Amino acid sequence: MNSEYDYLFKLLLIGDSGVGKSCLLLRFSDDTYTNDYISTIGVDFKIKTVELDGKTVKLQIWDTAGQERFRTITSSYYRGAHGIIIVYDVTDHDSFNDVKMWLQEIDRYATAGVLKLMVGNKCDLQDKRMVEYDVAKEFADSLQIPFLETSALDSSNVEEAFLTMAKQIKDSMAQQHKDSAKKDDKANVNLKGQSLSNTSSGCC
Amino acid sequence: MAIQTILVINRSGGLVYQRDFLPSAAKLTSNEYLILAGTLQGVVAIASQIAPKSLQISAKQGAKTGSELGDATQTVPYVGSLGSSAASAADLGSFLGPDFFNESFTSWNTKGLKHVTTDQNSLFLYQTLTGLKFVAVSTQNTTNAMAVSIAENLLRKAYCLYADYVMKNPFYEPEMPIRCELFDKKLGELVAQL
Amino acid sequence: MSSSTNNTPVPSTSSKKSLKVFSDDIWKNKTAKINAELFTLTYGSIVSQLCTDYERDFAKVNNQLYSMGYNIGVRLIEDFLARTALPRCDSLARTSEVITICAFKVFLNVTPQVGNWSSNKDSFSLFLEENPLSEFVELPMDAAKELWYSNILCGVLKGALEMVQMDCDVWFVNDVLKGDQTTELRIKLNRVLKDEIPAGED
Repeated sequence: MNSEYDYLFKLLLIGDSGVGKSCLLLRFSDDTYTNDYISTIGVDFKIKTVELDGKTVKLQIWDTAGQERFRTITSSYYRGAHGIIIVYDVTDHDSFNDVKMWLQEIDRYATAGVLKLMVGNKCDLQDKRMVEYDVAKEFADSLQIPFLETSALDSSNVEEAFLTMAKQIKDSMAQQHKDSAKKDDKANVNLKGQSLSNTSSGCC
Repeated sequence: MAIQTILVINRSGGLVYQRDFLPSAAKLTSNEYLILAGTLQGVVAIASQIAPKSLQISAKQGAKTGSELGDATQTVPYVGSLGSSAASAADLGSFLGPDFFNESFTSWNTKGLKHVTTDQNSLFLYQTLTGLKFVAVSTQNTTNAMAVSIAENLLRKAYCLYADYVMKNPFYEPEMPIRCELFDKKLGELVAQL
Repeated sequence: MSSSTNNTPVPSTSSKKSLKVFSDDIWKNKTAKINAELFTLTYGSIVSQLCTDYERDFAKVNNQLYSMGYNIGVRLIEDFLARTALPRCDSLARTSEVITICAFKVFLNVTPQVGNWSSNKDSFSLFLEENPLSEFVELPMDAAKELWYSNILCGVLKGALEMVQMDCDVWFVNDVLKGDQTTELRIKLNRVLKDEIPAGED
């Protein structure tokens, strides 16, 4: 049972209510799980199992739908998130303006250096569009946050975004190992010269 | 009291360990357990917000008269060694044996969720100062204070095993799923004692 | 802890005493022990190997010891809490007591003295009269200036305190190995990470 997965990543989905976070997720996750009871207490979960470099990774996505009245416990949702996806609605300018507010929340509650992604949802509704792609793209670039637009009709973009994020998280973990491995490599090289240099190191 | 399942939930609400002890019991899928863990994380936070003031006050007063070490915290009474003494005394690793505890100890969880009873099961939750949660699900629907104490004693011992066989395993990656055979084995012995 | 800046670090002697009795009992009766020489030699060989590996760049050695200590601290804190089940400290003064009377006792069988409180009570020093890490050590000439031989301790304290939601800076000020009068380690509390305190606590 425990050996079912090697890694567990926590992803958080935030954004104004009604921007279609849940729809987006429903599209993305094949292990769909919805439960009305759960969403009433402020958070809903979707779990996606992916294979990365031969390792089984569970992406547990915390969908913080309708959480205005649960603001006081927000911090417990942000805690330890590996990646955060901020969603807005391209047909609703307010929801785009609020992205700034959400970013502040991230700074306040989430781990420094958490991976971020900005998603403009409902891009199929071209005639109602209020937020231009270029504007959003420029905003995201200025903050160095990856950005994409999507719609419930087309989940491929989202899937890609999630997988990219998962890979980045995994790589950043592997990177830490590599950093220490590098030192080991260096140590190995130096070990050969040990007899020479060791004479000058005084301990013991 | 038969322990059906033990869970370990990390600081961020991720399920890092789950083990069933009763083969007969209805099984949840790994995803369902993940959701249970995440939900508990939220429920504990909510419970701490809505815990009645009177409960919190009495908890503080209890601590004042209680343990000499205790500040504003509740203490859990020591319930003696778990199970019959005939059962092989599972050793607690570097904690030197089953008699490690012989007095009451602090519960860090003063106003969060500690205990849930349904008509079929009871769920007990022990939270550490670092935010880890150890959860036991038993097959009895008990509201008995003694049972809660026993469960907290058991879970504190599970925490000791975790400190030894998980945290001291240099190849364990913190916050990630626990795959430590020694921990499995020791935890199995601990639960078998009950 | 949160009110640490207001509290004067004048601990009640009775709580200090009971903490001492409690800690001595854990050390004596409930803790597995190893041979001290083996421990000292192991640490010594690590430091000397690091000096070699980093080509006697002692700033790097200090950093590496610190990060090794940090990784120990974030793990060791669980052992400490499981072992002691001590409650959260209500002031930094209490934290200083728990670190010296309990933690140093349980893990190293020494009890450093606390002193040099800053005027706003957010930082203090630990004076190590005995240091089990460096019992047999004499620093070579080139290392005496820069190397903080026991820097791993700073990392351990940093990591452990961070896990109980205290963001601190920890560093060595003096070391008898360098010819100083005392071995002094400084801890400064930057802030309590309130948002990270687990729900369910006060």
